[in-house]
Amino acid sequence: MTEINKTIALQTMEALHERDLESARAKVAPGARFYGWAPEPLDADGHKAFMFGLLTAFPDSNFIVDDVVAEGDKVAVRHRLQGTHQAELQGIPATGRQVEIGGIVIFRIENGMVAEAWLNADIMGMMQQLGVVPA
Amino acid sequence: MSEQYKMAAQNLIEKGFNQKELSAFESYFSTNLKDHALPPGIPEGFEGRRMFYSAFLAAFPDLHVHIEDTLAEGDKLVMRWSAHGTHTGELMGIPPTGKQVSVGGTAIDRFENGQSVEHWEIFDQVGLMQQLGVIPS
Repeated sequence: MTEINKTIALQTMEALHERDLESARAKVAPGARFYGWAPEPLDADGHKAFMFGLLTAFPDSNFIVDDVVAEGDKVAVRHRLQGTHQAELQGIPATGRQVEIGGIVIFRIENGMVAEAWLNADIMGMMQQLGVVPA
Repeated sequence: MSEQYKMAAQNLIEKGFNQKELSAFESYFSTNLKDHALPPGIPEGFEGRRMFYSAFLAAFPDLHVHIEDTLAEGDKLVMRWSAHGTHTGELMGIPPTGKQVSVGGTAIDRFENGQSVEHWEIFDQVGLMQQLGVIPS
């Protein structure tokens, strides 16, 4: 199961990298909950809407996977989001700045779909790179 | 091996953070630690990690950390944690606010010979600074 779960987690990351939110949404179970996004928790549609806002803010976005650790029904993915901030994001007007935001997300996979996810992202680093808070 | 890593993490949290025994940090991390999560301006590796933890323990003397989840594979351990405490000591230039804060984070360690030799971690620094009133919510 662990290898299958890894594949599903990585397919989700690849869909985000390809900016294909329909494919990412298709891997989310009904009743799924996303923790670490705002407001918390988000459901599947809330998560998709949040990610749409993120991808809109960074039109040249890339999601790069740096590490994967899996055990049982959980898969942790250490990753980076790279992009240029070209539209409003969570109240921050476009800055034109390039950012790289590190993240660690843990997915819980149930019946081949994402049932829960917990994200920690370097929002402080992002705000520093955007010049919103001092470095 | 994975159970051994989980026990090491539990010891780090219970003894190191919750009972404030710095020796628990020293047994968890190798002196050859490569640390990817330290802020600029403090020493790299083991020394920096010890200073970083000491600073938090001094700023939040009642700090209590809870392990929310662990998963291990190969030589890696992932730990998701939550912590709460009262800000009664200076924290990296921020004078004590007396505020109670609650934050969470996720760490990844790579083990060699029973100790962490590489550390990655992201925690809710923005949430911490907002709760301290240093940056607006």
